[in-house]
Parts: sequence; structure tokens; C-alpha cells
Amino acid sequence: MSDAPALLCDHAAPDAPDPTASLRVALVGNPNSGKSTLFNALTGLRQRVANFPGTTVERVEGSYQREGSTVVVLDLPGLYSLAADSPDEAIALDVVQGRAPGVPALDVIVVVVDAEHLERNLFLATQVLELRRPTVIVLNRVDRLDAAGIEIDVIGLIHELGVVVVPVVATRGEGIDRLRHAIARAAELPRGTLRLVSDGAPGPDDDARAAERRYALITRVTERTVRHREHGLRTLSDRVDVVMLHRAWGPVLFLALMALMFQAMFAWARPLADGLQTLVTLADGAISGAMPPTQLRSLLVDGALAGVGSVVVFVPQIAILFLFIGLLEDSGYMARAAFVMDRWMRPLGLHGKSFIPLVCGYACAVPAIMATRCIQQPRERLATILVVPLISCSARLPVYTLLVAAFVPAVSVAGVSLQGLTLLGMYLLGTAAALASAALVRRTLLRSATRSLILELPPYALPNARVLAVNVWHRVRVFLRRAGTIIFAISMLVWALASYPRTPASPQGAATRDAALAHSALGHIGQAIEPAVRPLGYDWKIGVSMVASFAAREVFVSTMGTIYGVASDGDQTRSLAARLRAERNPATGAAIYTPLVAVGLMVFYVFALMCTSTLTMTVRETGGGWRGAGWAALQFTYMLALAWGSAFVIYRGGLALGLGGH
Amino acid sequence: MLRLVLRSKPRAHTAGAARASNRPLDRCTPGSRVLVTGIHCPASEARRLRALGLYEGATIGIVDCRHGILLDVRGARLALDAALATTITVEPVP
Repeated sequence: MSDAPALLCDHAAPDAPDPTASLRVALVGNPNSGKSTLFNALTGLRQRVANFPGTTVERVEGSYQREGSTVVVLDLPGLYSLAADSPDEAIALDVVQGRAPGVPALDVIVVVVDAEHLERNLFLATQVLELRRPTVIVLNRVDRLDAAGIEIDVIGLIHELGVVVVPVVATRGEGIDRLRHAIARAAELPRGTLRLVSDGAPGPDDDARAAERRYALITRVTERTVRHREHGLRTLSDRVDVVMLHRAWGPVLFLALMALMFQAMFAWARPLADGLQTLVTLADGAISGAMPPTQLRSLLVDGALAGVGSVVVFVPQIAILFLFIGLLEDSGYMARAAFVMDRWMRPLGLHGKSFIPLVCGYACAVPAIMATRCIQQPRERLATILVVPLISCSARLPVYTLLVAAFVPAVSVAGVSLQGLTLLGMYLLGTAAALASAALVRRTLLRSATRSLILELPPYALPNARVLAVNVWHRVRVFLRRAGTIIFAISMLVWALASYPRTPASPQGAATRDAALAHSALGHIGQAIEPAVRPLGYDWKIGVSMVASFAAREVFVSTMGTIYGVASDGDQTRSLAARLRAERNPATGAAIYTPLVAVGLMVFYVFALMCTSTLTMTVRETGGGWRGAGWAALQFTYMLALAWGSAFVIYRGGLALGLGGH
Repeated sequence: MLRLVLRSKPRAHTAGAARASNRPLDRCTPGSRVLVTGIHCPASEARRLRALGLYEGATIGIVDCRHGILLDVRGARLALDAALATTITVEPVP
């Protein structure tokens, strides 16, 4: 997963250098050279992910023990050259040259080279050798050479390059011990005997000449050490690509795969999520049964458990999403998808690679924003981040489900359920809004030429189960850590606001529950914002739920539940949907929730960015600090304006057309 | 397109008559092999192309050009969008 999106990483600042580290090693290599697989093979599960200080470039670090001392391994971003054209490359260049702030100097540089594409990979390798640092070259995937009809004289290569070359098969762990030994001895060995190319002063002509000289040198080396038994063969990957990259079949297959992923996240994650929900409910019951109904119990059950529970139930979806992305990435399909979709994304001012984060957005905007890391052009990436939350995520589903069940009649239109159609309509509305906003933003605020598509399509390969599992585990762990802290804290805050100040005496019952809520801080906030939501046809209770749902959208449903006194222990006979339908305005006796209000409310939730986690992620991924906060504020404001405006138009327009009734 | 071909003309006298057959990369037929004679896109993209093995003087194969273009660059598959392919000039290799 080298070229890629989305390691879900934490906010933790990179830890202080490990004082017991006897050796610091960095892995450098082309994307698709199997660098991350080698990193996993070297370090196992002893890894941590953070960012390089002041950047969004990932710093993946792991370690292993050898002869009683710790060897710390840094997995640098995938690179094709040391030209420093992108932030990733600039950081990697600084690290290998020992200039990166907060990163201790390296003892050994390990260059990972894909044996099948030795000539191309030697471009970067020779640049690293020019730095004259202790270097080990890893010849990865030597098991594929036979099938590809290539023979490499490793001893000859060692002589030509003047450094240690270790053949390995990272996916099977072969040659790893030899590599560890070579790393331990590298500092004592000669640092390359080759007369190399100096890139000279920058400039288009110089660059072209330097590249020609470097390839001439590489050709000299490979002519002496590499033999191709067959050449120009049409590979199995090429034959698969005839279908995968087909003008018509390519997009169809891609959409089918995305539909499968969508299905997996919704349907397959459901039993697991239900299982976790059952556990939360059991814990709820256990605490409620064991404790008297005190404020402490309320804090534990309604605050802590509800908060943690709402986070934990998302884990199966997150895991399945990343498993799928990992499968697509490691099988070699992801690059094809970007190539196929590029033609369709370009008119919107987006890159083919933007499509993947947009699709992830149907599950959750948080990992989707992480997935934008695969987009190199900063403005394209920023535009994608700004519009991703418009795609209806899974957290909107509970809101849609409640309102559709309550207000859309269960009838069929031409054999299709009207309720299902309404739901589909909400998803399509969000998608259309995201694409239109992207086109608008790229033509105004974030105008720039769309970066050309230059993509290496790696050969198709069978993903390695262990590597996939490790990656999914890392992402889930970090998701739990972050979501468990931020969402948990906000859930507690909402609970406190809804519970205090308390009414003097609060006997049980729906009416007094109402009064207690109206008396609480949250109630006051709701009444304060009522003028803002009144033009949309909402009362203060909906206002309160909206404010509460700022923590996370699905909180809208639970807050409505609290407000309307639907207890989770099932002592109420009427469902929340039925209660909403029956709700009357005490002054006029008219229904508060008409289908028109419900549709307006659903559309409001299609557009509004009611999600603290997404905003936090936007702040972090758009540069952090005030800069990031500015982008997050812009994102929140334009989405809120869109939401309020659309809900207003629907409600007022509906009333004008005489659709205000039941 | 014509301008691009003309732009590479000044170098033509050094290489003799063979340069007369220069053409943009997107005008090539699948299955053919070509020699790269000029890269006229912005510098950062040209640098990336060269790091990926597509440099002036490289011999590459055309695998597919149904949309965008798919190249065989020393055994690796490199995909470029159609607009970028027009900025690269090549000449056929017999």
C-alpha cells in the first residue's frame, strides 16, 4: 500500500527519539516496490504512525531487536526520484540528507528496488548512492524473475554499484535475516565505488541531460548484470487490462466493484455492528440494574456509554472500508480505477484519484478525508476535502430512516417503494451537490490547472493477508483512539448541557421530561436558536436536536428520542416515528411535523456538516492550526448555508404551492 | 500540435533526416515501439516522467491508446492522460 491513501493516523506528536536505539534506518523506494511489505516483514507489529512535524506527510516508524539492541526503521513515502516535487518527496529528501527537523540522523539508508523493474528503480537508487551514506540495496520480489524471463547477476550488481545488494521476497519473509545482518554491518562497509552523475543546476535542459546521463549509466550497469530471456511479451496483466481499461467495460466494472464495497459496508457490517450494539445495550442494562437512578448512573449510561457506544458501532464499517481499499490497492487495481475515472473527473477539475475518497465518503467522511492523501496537487486535494462531506455518509442513514418511516407513505410507485425512492433521492442529491460544488470551487476559489495523470500501473498481484490485516488493525486502532476521545468528550458535554441546571423536582414522565429539558442549558440554547430555525418550519425541540447533533448526526435521533421520552427499555408503546406524527402545536393544534417539514429536515441533513470528527479531520488535513481551522470554518459555513437555504426554499416553496398539509 | 512538432525542429539538424518523422505520442498505433525525442510539458511533470523511465532517448512501447495512453516503459506500465501525451514527441523505431 505504498502509493497510498490513507493510513488513519493519530494526532500524537512524534515521540522523542528512542534513547535505546542503536541504529536508525530509513526505507526508501519507488511506490509499488513492496517497500511497505518489507517494512512489515522487518518490524512486525511494533509500529507507530504519526506525522512529520508541521506537515501532513506520514511518518511510519517501527523497530526490531538485534543482538540486544533496538534497530529503529522509518518507512519513508514512496518516491520515484529525489527531485522534491511534492511535500512527500521534500520530506523524504530532508530525512535521507539528515536535515528534517525532529528526525534524528540516519545510520543506514535501505533502498528497496523491485527486481522486475530494476532499470527504472535504479534511477532513485543511484541518486541515493550519490549521497555517499551507508546504503544497502534490497532486491525485492526476486521470486517473480523466473516467470518474467529475467536473470539478475547479484554479485555482478554488487561489483558494479559498490554496495551490498540483498535479494529478498518480502511477502514470504525470505532474506529478511540476511538483510538485518547487512544493515548491522552497513556502516563499516564501503559507500559505493561508482562514478555517479551530478544533476547540476536545475533547469529543463539540464534536467533532461542529467536524466539521459543517469540512464546511460544505468544501462551500462544493467547490460552487464541483467539478462532478459524474452522481451516485449504481452503479460497476464496486459490481458486483464484489455477488459479492465476498456472504454465501456472499464467504468462499468469499476462501478460494480464500488457497489460491492458499498454493499459490504452497509449489509455485511450490519450484523457485526448489531452485535456490538447488543453488547452496549447489555452493558447499559447491567449498569442500570446494579445502580440506583442517580446522576452518576445517568452520567455513566446516558453520557459515557452512549458516547462510547456510538463510536464503537462504526468499527465494522471502518474495518471493511479499509479492508476493501487495501485489497484494491494491493491487488494493483486502484491505479487502474484512477486511470479509468480520470476522464470523468477531469471536467469537474478533479483528478482520477479524487474518485476514491468520494466513494469512501458514503461510509464516513473521516476516512474519506484521509484517503485524499493520494492526490498530489494541493488544490485538487483541498477541493476534494471540502466537498467530501456532502456525500451522504452512514451516519445520515438513521436520520433519513426515522423521517422516511414517519412521513413517507409505504406505497409503491411503478413497483418501487416510495420510501426507498426517497432514500435514494437523498443520496443522489448529496452526490450531485458534491460534484457541482467541486466544479464550482475548482473554477473559483481553488483554481489551478488539473495536474496531468502520470500513473504507474503495477502488475496485478494477490494481496498478502497478513499485510492487509496489519493495515486494517492500525487504522481501526487509531480511529478508536481519536473517536473515543473527541466524540466521547462531546457526548459528555451534551449530556451535561441536557441535564443541568436541573428543575427543583423532577418526577418521571414525558411532560416533565419536556419541562426539565426546556429548563436545561441545552433547552435554553434551543430556544435561543429557535428564531433561526422557525423560517424552516421547526420548533425549539428540533433546534435542540440539531444543536446536539453537531457532535455527530446520528445524535439527532437519540436526542429526539430523549426529548419525546422514548425510553430505551421499551416501556413506551408508541414508536418515535408515531410520536412525531402525533406531535401538535399547543397553540394552534396543527401538526408540527408535516411531510413537508420532514423532507426539508432530510434535505437539511443532506447538506449540513453536523460532524465534529469530520471538522477535526479537515483542520488536520488542510495544514492544521489556524490555516486548517479556516478551511474547516469555510467548509462548515458553506454547507450550513446550503442546508438552511435549501430547507427554506423547500418549506416556503411547499407552503406557497399548498403542500403544507398532512 | 503542429507547433509542438515545429518546436522540436531546431534540434533536428543534429540528428539528420530521421527527425522529420517526429510525431506526438498520442498519434501512435498500439503495439508499436517508438523513440522519445522531446518532452514539452511543464518542468515538474517532465521530471516525473524522466524518473519513471520516459526520457529523451528512451525506447518505449505503446500498449493501448483507447483513452489516455498506456505505455510499456522498460517492462513497467505507465498511464498518461491524452493531453499530456500530445506534449511528448516520438519517432518510430523500425
